[in-house]
This record gives sequence, C-alpha cells and structure tokens, in this order.
Amino acid sequence: MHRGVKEAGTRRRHRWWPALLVLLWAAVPLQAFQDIEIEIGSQVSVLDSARRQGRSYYSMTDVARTFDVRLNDSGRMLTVRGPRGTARLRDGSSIVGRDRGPDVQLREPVWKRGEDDWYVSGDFLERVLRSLLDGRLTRLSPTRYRLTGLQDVEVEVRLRNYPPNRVRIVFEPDRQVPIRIDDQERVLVIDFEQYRPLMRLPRERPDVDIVASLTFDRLGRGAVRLVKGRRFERYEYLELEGPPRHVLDLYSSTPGRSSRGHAEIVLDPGHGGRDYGVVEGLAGLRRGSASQEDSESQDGEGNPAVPQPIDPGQISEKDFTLNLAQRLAAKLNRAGFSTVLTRGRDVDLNLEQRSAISNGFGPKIFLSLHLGSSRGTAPRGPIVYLHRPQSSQGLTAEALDVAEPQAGQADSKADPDSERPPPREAQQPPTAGFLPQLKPWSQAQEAHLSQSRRLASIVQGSLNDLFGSDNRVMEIPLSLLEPVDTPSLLVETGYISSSDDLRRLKDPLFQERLAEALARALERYLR
Amino acid sequence: MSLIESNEYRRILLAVVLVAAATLFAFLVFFLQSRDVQRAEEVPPAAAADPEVLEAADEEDQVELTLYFYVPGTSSPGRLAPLKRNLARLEDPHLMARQIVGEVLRGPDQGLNVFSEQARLRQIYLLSEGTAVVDLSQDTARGLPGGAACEYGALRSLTRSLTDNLEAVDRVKFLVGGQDAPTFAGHVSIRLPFSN
Repeated sequence: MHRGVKEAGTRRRHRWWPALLVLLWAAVPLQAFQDIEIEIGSQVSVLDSARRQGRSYYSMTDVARTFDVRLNDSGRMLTVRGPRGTARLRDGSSIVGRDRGPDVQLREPVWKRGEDDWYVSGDFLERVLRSLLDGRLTRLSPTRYRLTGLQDVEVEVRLRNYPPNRVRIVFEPDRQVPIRIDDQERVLVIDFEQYRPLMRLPRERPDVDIVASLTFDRLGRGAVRLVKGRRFERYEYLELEGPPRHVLDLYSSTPGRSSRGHAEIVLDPGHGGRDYGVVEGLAGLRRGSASQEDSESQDGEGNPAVPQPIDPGQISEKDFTLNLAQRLAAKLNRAGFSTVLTRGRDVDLNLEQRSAISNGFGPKIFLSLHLGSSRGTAPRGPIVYLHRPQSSQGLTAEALDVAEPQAGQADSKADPDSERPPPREAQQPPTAGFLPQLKPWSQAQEAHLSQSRRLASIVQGSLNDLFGSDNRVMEIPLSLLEPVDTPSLLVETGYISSSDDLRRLKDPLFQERLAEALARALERYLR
Repeated sequence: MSLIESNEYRRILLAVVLVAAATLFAFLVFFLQSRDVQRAEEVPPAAAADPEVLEAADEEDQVELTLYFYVPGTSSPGRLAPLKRNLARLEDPHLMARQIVGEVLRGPDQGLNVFSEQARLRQIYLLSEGTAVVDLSQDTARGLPGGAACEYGALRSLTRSLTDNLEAVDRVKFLVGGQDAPTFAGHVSIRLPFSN
C-alpha cells in the first residue's frame, strides 16, 4: 500500500518535468530573441534582440542602420537625430528627452552595453522613433512594422494684397490634405503634416509691413515660413472645398501708421534651435546651421547634423549669443535706443528670416552676434566681419594674407603675390543690365558699405580694447548681411577654441563688460 | 518495476536533457558570435583615395604643384600658406582638378588642417567658360571648426589651388551635397563663383 502510493507519486513527477524542460527549452529562445521585422518597400530588415533581465532589448546600431538616423555617443548620453527631430537617451534612465515635444518614458531603462553599443526596449520605435522619421511608421504586429515614405502633394500658392491692411495667401493643394499652422513669435510656419509639399510660391510681393517674407523651408517634410511684418497683428484661417483651398488672411494693426514703430537697432543672436553653432570643447565639430539644413532634405545621401547634449557649464554659441543680445538690448534701451531681437528665445531661424526681420523694422544698425572657432588654440580675440559683395570678391591681402611662396614653385600659373582682385567696376553682377530700375535684395547691403565700415571700425576698436587684442576687421561675402538694407555687421566676440577667450566668455562679469563695450560702440556710431 | 522507473529510462531522459542544453548553449554562443562578426564587418573602410585618379596616375610621371592651405592666425583672420606637393601628372584637367581638391582636403603635411577627416569631394565639373563647379559633401561643411574666418579660408584655399594650377579654371563655384546653397557652412555666401 505504502509502496503503491509512492509509485503513483513518482510517476506523476516523471510525467510533467520532462515536458516542462522541453517547454522551457522552446520558450527561452522565443522570449530572448523576439526580433522585430521592418518592412521598407519590398525589403524586410530585422532588428535583432538581446536579452537583459528577462526583457527584450534592441540595438540602437541596428535601429540607426535600418532607419537612417544618426547616433552620437557622448559618454552617458546618446543623441539620436532623425530628419524631424532629436532624442536624447541616458544610460540607465527610461526617460527620453526630445527637442520637439514632451519627454517620453520607455517601458525599460536604456541600456548602454559598451562603447557605441546602446540598447532600448521595443516601445522605443513607436514612442520615440516615429516622431523623428520623415516617413510613416505603421505597426502591423508587436514584432512587425512598416515604414512608408510621405506622399507628395503639389501646392499652388496665390497671394493678393488688399490695401490698406490685409494680405490674403491661398494654398491650393492638388487634393484635400490637412495643414498645420504654428504661430511663433515672429514667424508663422505652415506645414502639411503627413505630406511632403511640392510648393509653387507666388510671384506677387506681399505688403512687407504685414508679411516681411514668404519662403519655403525644405527642412524635414518641408514647410512654408512666413515672417511677420512690423505691422502684422493677427491672422484668420479658413478651409474651403471644391477645389480644396486653405485661405490665410493676414491683417495689420491699424492701416497706415505703424503701431510697433521701428527699431533703431536690430540685434541678431546667431544660430538657435537645432543649430547650436559652436560648442565648448567641440571646436572642429560644427553642429549644422539652419541655412545649411535647408538643403539637407534634398540631399539623398546627406545626413543631418547631429546636435549633442550640452552639459551644464558647457557653453554653446546659440545660448551665449542670445544671452549677450539680451544684455546688450537692456543697456541700449536704458540709453534711450529702441531695439528688437530677431529671436528672443531658442528657436530655429534661417538667414533669410533674420535679414527679413531687420528690413521689416528699418533700423539704423543690424548687428549679428556670434562666436569664433578654429583648429588649434592660437586664434583669439574678437573679429568684426563686413559683407564683401561677391562681384568684387577675391583673395586679397585685406581679406586673407598669402604667405611668401616657397622658392621654385613649379607649374604655378601666376605669382600669388601679384594677384589682386579686379576693380569692382570690371565685374558686373549677373543682374546688371536686367531690371535696372530695381535693386535686387542681394545688393541691398552694398549701398551701406561705407557706413558699415565706419561702424565696424568703431566696434572692432572697442572690442580690441576690452580683449587687449589687435585684430582687424575682415571683409568676406556673407549670406546673412548681403540682403540687409542698413549698415550691418557680424561680430564674433571671441574664440571658443581659445582657452583664454573661453574663460572670459564664461564669466558673467565679462559678459556684462562685453555688452557694455558693444553698447558704447553702437552709441558712438549713432551719435 | 515499470519502464518509467527503470534506470535505462532515466539515462535516456538525462541524455535528452543534456543534448537539449548543449544545443541551446551552442545556439547562444553561435548567435552572439555571429552578431559580433556582423558588427566587425560593418566598420567602414578608411577613406579610400580617389579611384578615378589612382587609375589614371602613373607613379613615375609626377609634377610639382603649389597648393594653398589655410592657416589660422594668432590675431586672425589667418592666411593661405603655399606648399609644394608632388602630384601625378594627368592629361585630363578634370582628373587633375579632382586630384588637387583631394590634396587640399587632405591638408598640409604638418600643422592643422581646416578640413575634417570626413571632408569629401562629391564631384567636380569643368565648364568651358572657365568655371570649375566643385561639389563638396555636407560633411565637408559640417566638419569645419565653425568660425566665419575658417569657412572663408577653406573655400579660398580650394579656389586658389585650382585657379593657380589649372589653365582651364578661372573661378570656382561651390555646391554642397549636390545642391546650390546660399551659404557654405552658415556664414560665407557661395551664391556666386569665387575667383582670384
């Protein structure tokens, strides 16, 4: 009897445990290697999984290769940059920061397995990656996704001025598609959300008091950027069908007279938003520029610049220039001058928009603030840049010295020292002969060059005194200043790559003295 | 004694379990190793020399040219340093232009190079009226140090090296990533060609 009971118990145990082993054997690889398949066109890519603490993780290297996003490993942080935005992952944290939109919490903390070897949980694809991509990522099953490109939509843009206080802009897409209007401080951004617009902009010029400029920004999916004129007050939006139209009516405040007046000085804090400018400790690794990014989406092989996270205490050009512009504006305002900043916060602004804002306000001075950077630590101190019209540009001693050539230079077409630019009159701009009654924007700065030179000399002198430097004004063709219709300068207030300059630039007291020196120079020019 | 309780059955069961465990272990080892191998193969090869130029070059037939390299100055804005360098003598001016741009991007033998290691020439076109259209990669612009002086110096060094050494080139028009861009790296206008 006793034996019979024991036999029965043994038999039961023997029945289930081999089955359990087999089940476990089958389940382990299933759990551990739950790979994700991505359909891209007719191809299927696989994101291999790795296992950690019973959870599936996916290699960011695989993600970057499959989705063509860029990674930048800076120790404890990994920056993921896609065509539509940037995300920052921190080792051991499940919170992912994004430059556009709120932070996202992943199911599992991010895992840095080794140098340039990062892993994330599967929900990264839907919660974060989707917002960074140009195309559309659709989840077909928990382990299968499909990436499809954006559809093109042709958009005809019509513009009509209704004096004295209204401009109407009508977007006519070739089919009914939604648009989104982002009302920013000085800019309206109109984009077509799920579509990539092929835009035909109007030839008509808007009333510049209401719409300072209307441009198509090709960055990412592409969007129309409308810079508000100095009398812009509000806009109204109306959607119509048959044929589909999006109507934007833009109004000025009061007809005739300006309510915002004009500013005497427009200050332009360089860079901003996704464009960091130069960053401390990263001289030689630029972070892309808004203007540069304009063309990036057109470049099939071009990858967007990768902004990296800034550690506290590390200065970036975009933050420094904004801070300096605000200090300078406060000093100028106290001295009785009216000022306007092209950007009052950390936003993207391309070069055309900056010059359009300046031209909209009709100031007496346009001053763009920047930081310098170079290979090596030798270059230091401030440099004031003037625009040199391209029709007269050339390699001159004034712009860039040529060192003595070495003896016996063979096969050289000419002696470098004998090279001088041709006289300005000798090279007419390509527009010469056409539309003689109109001044192209590209020549707007030319009329102010002598005043710009006087201003440059004063500012360079004032900054040299502050830095104890002996730097000279430099004249080079500058995209930013070319269309500015007032005396204007681009100033690099020291080199971030110079340890001496950097130490000073990081000191709030020195920043205050720098703003003071600039304010004194501008006052001296205006009085 | 039933079959289930027999020693033979236990041995078979043990063998099955051992085989399963060994298979799983082998699978894991193979899987992880194959991932490592895959990683190793993904490392991009070092930037290769221009294959078109290499194909046409004859090591014996060389010519000494003066190329110009941007040198940042202590009190700015820097200067162009002429340096002699031996290049392959190529009859085709297009290939010669490619070779010159490649050498300037590679930088001087000593001292700092304003261009980064990622700098790359995409394509160069010689137009009949004396313009060389130099199409540089986005990384070329992005890899510059960031100041306006360096950006200008970089473009001047290319312009000067091409116009001084090639009869067919009087001016240089720059493209970035295959596109006509308003500015090279955010400061300097490249709307119109550069000339000496």
